[in-house]
Amino acid sequence: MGPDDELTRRTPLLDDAGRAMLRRLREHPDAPRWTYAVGDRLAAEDLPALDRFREQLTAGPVPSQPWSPSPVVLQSVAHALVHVPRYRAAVPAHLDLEHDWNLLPTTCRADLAETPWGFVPDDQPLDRLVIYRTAGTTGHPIAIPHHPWAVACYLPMLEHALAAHGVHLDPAPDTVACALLSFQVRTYTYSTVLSAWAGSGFVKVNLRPTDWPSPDSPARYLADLAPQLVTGEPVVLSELLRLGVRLAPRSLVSTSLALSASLRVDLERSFGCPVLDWYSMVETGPIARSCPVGHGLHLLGPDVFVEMLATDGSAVAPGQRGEITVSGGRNPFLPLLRYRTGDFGRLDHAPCPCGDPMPRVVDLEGRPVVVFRASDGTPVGPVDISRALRELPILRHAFVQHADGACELTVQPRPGDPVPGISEIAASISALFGTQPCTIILSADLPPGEPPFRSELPVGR
Amino acid sequence: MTSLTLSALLRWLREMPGAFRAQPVGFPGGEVRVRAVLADLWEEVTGQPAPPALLAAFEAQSDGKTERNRLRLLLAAAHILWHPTLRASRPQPERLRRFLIQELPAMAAVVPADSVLDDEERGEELIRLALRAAGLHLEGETAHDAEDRLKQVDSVERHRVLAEAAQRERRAREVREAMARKAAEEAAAKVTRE
Ligand SMILES: [Zn+2]
Repeated sequence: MGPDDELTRRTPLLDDAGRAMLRRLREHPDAPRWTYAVGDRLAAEDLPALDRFREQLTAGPVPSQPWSPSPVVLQSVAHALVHVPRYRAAVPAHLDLEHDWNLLPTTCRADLAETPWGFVPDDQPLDRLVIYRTAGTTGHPIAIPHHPWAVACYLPMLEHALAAHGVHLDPAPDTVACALLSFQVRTYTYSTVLSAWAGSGFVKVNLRPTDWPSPDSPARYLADLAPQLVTGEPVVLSELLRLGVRLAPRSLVSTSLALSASLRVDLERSFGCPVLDWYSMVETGPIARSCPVGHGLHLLGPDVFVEMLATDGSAVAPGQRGEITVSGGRNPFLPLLRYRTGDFGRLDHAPCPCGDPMPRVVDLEGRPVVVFRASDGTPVGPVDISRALRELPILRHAFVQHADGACELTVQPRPGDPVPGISEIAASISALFGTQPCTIILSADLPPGEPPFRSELPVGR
Repeated sequence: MTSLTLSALLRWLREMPGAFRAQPVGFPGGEVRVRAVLADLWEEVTGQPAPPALLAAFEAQSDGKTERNRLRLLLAAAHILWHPTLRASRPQPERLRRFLIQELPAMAAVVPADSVLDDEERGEELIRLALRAAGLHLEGETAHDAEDRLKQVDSVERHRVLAEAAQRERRAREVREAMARKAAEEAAAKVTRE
């Protein structure tokens, strides 16, 4: 395959304007190092289906009875029970889903890790399957089957969420619609165009200085691209403040981890635009987005059912704290049946002052922010450390960074394997942390309650 | 009112007008708005306008073949429910709703919509589901007979128990292999991190 074939395989709807945009993104004198190539994989027939999905979203939410799944979700679950091997094996035929919903089994991340193929419907052709690897902040990476169309549905959902905050995007072939920022020791970076957003440009870049031609490059590059939307984890958005990057996006979207109220206020003041909190998982797709007047996170999808479950799998009383559990969705390779996200919160059906009739997730206890710092100030994430230790014969570990920056890593070697060398472990840590001092401890029995990652660094540093 | 015999209902089904045979809007050559057809039907047989949340389930949720099949089978079901006797039966809304959003999608998952016209047993299955939803049974049958016969023609149950263990093994292997192969390729660009 020639380079152009590769381009059109990744971005089948790429046209001349798109090629010009790619050149602009890639050949810019301040462009960063690109470590990956990826496109949207959208085909022409996906676009009308996306438009229909957009229509469903903008037709307004369909208020359903708060505590039972909507007909849209029920019909998709009815189909999944016939064709998804895992569900077919676990649920008797002809159960009245509306009446006996609470009898349905729940599923969780461990089920997906064990037999991800058991969730793919039998009648689904596999030619458009794509796979995402997701690690979360703990645990082993798992493979999530997905479909490019379902991934592209994120765009109308973002539009819908932004509209609630008074923000409208005008993606066009000569604009950069979105920049996804990260700040990591190592991460995929790429540039592409989004066919579902009029062929506008999209970049995923790493703010780490070593990724760029010069220290001023990130600020110049991003200012020149003028992305209409900037997305990233809260810690990365706070790096934007720290680095003094001047940008004028129409909105910032904070993802993955909890966004604190104080950071939101700082960001809104500095960038002069609304800052949205976005709650989404690879397994489920977008679940909720922040309310413009600060009353939690409104549910997003007309085609998902969100319920809160107690640890024994029963539904909690209305308004009580429970595990956020998702059914339905639009990923044809992974129809969800009571998927337990591992995140907790309460569901509030009371009318919201903002006027949006969709229920809200409140008091969300999502994945906590754990950030470490290398000696040069680069943020290091738990994922970076897991990746560095992955190849070593380690069963469990506990990593702590103390307030003075010094690190301590306790590892429990995997029984039956040669004990890993202290110097080898130290080398993989210093590759991430530079000259930060690090103590390595080998322990035959790490206490079970010890968290794998803990940061004692002062907040906001 | 015509008598409720299976042969009469099968004839009624085979004589389904062109409007119910057309492709649903949202698919190539699409002409018929399934949502509108079901909205009319619901109002006619229950005497109440259908709730918007229910009507949303009669829109195409994707552009996949299985979704088109579900909508086409819904049209055939609507035609059966439009039969004068069924229409006049005033079915309970809960029962009708269960038929349209649970039983019918399950049947559509394993039965091509055209086969209810070509294959008498599939036609009978759809007719019996519709009759049950309408709270009716065929002339000369008890409710118990009707349940028994429905079990005999139940494609969903047959699909579940069919001894295609080998076929299912093969599919599981195919999916496993496809996942491994695709994991080595890049996925699709995503504008947010998760
Ligand atoms: Zn609100």
